[in-house]
Amino acid sequence: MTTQTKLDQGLIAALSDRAGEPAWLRERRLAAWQRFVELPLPAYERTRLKQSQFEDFAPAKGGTAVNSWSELPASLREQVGDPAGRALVVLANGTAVYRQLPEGFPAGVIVTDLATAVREHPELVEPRLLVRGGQGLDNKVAALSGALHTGGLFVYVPKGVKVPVPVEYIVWLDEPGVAVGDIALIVTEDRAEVTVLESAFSAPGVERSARFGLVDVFPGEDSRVVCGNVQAFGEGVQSLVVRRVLPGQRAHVDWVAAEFGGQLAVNEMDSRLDGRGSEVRALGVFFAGGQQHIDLELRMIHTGRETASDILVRGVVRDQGRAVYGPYTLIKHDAKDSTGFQRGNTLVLDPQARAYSIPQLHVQEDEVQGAGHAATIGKVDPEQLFYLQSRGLTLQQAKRLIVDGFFYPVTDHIPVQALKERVMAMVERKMAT
Amino acid sequence: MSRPTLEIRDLRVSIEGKEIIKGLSLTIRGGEVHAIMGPNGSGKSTLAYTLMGHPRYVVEDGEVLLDGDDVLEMEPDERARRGIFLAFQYPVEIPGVTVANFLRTAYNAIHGGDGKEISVMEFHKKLREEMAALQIDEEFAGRYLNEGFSGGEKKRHEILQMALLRPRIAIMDETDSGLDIDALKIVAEGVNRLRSDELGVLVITHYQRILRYLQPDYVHIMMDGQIVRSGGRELAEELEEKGYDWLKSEIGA
Ligand SMILES: Nc1ncnc2c1ncn2[C@@H]1O[C@H](COP(=O)(O)OP(=O)(O)O)[C@@H](O)[C@H]1O
Ligand SMILES: [Mg+2]
Repeated sequence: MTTQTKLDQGLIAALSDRAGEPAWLRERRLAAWQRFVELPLPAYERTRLKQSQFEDFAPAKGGTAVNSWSELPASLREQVGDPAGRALVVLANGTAVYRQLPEGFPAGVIVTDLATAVREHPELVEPRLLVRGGQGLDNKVAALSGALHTGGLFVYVPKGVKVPVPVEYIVWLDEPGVAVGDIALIVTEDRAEVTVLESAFSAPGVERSARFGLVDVFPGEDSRVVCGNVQAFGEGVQSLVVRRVLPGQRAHVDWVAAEFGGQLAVNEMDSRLDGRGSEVRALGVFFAGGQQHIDLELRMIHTGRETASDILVRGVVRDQGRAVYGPYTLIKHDAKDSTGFQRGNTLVLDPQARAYSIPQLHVQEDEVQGAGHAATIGKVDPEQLFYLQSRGLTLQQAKRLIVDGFFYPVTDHIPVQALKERVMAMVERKMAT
Repeated sequence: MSRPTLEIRDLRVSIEGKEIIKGLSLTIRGGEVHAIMGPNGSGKSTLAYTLMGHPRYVVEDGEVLLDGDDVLEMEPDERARRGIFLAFQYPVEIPGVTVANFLRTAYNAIHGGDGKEISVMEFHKKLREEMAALQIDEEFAGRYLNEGFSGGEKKRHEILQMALLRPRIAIMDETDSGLDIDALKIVAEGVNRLRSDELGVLVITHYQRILRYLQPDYVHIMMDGQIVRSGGRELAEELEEKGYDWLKSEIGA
């Protein structure tokens, strides 16, 4: 028996067989593969992707489901920390292996892995999985995630319910040379509130593996959703994830994207502001060192009236790291009284590091409330370094303090304390290496 | 702690190939206050930055020794840990870094060797005391380093750092400029409180105003990169009275 090292249709069909999924899902999975094959490579301006980066992988063997936390791999447990009192869904190598909900978790709220949700709540999953308001899959990463997924997250919050603890989605990898796909589907009904935090990381030393992820968020009217992600894969992993949100009327969504890991990482966040009065705020933090290439693509498409979007991103590049900040705001004709703002700043720590900033703002509607963008790329001011060194700080300590201060305007706005702390700890960790 | 000695011997310094300090010697010992006066552009700040180790200033010749050790070999942070302090003429802004966080980091860098870091509680107690002595409002600790500070606040903050870090040799570069008389008194009192045999002070100034409060032991006049005359306190008064032109004709410049 030879090990397969290229993804193909036969393999996708085999995944479907193995999952024993309903006919509708098998159909959508195969259609997603078809879309993947047809679609061109994504045209990210400063991130050239090759076909091989989508298919030269073996399928993952997947993780083994366990009943208790202590049975999970040590390196995973270590990175997640103390699980007490937390709501967790854990994927290992693409498959759901563990779930826990804290005592007193509100009744009627569904937090489970995707395969379970497909079995137990098809009436909630089928209308939304891989269809996104009838738009289908218009993105090669999303299409491949749809074809390849072996696990994922499903969150459903009924009308008026506020989920008191963050739902945490752990995406963990320890198989080398494999591609995994996963889908997170987050649905809130009217006036519901939930926070979903995703953490992605890998065991030490994992090489040539890739995650293809799709996150679809459907906030109901007047609901409030916080979606945060901390991507901290090892530097041998490729992370291509598409996140999309389609807010209902007056829904309020906070995206927090924190990209620290990966050899190549693209985080594309796509907000379709269609519901009248809906609002999406995106906070972004990135830090590319070593040989890393990180691309944060943020799209805000306003089609509804009185919609508001805001992008605030800060990033650091060092060593030979590369980073791209690519915000795109489009206020379409008829999206009257909308606002769209972007601010992004990148700090370059080393002469060989490169930062690219490609802001785009298009306003087709005449009657907007406000729109604007500002982007800078700068170096550390040597006078700041000297001032701090003259107070006894080593060069390294001085840089660390300046970098912390640089990220502060974003970290200070992170609406969830646990997420804020995780982001700041990752900045510390990156600065310490 | 022992009584420090800073010796500057025949120092020559250039910036971008242009010689600014042209052979300067000066010895400062613990317990002494030296004042350097001189017109704009005479090289006072250049001397101050050079002693602290700013990379832009190139030492062409001469020596600087602290208790006999070669200061010019040391990085700025090592100089700071050895007890050299510079109160900046133009303190630098660092956005997003709070005064309290900065001061605690600096305090630990100077005093917290071998893992003896001060606890956050203990540090804040100390900080509050020192701030009160300099009549600095408590909310100041939560502001970002020098960002939006008034001229007076910047200078008081420099002295606050000096009070916390307890240097052995303190160089004050025009700490008095831009201060009104009340602020000047507070700053001068702050420095006077720190005076002891374990601290030598070099006050760089344009005017003799601050010297009334600091009572220097020695006054040096600097022109065109050299000390052209040294004397006691009375030299400052004479200079104030007669002006730099008098001095220029005196020395035949
Ligand atoms: N960064 C610099 N680049 C070039 N020349 C400088 C620089 N800084 C100071 N100088 C020059 O060095 C001389 C001394 O400046 P400075 O030490 O600031 O004098 P002071 O503090 O006595 O006013 C001046 O002629 C000034 O123009
Ligand atoms: Mg000066």
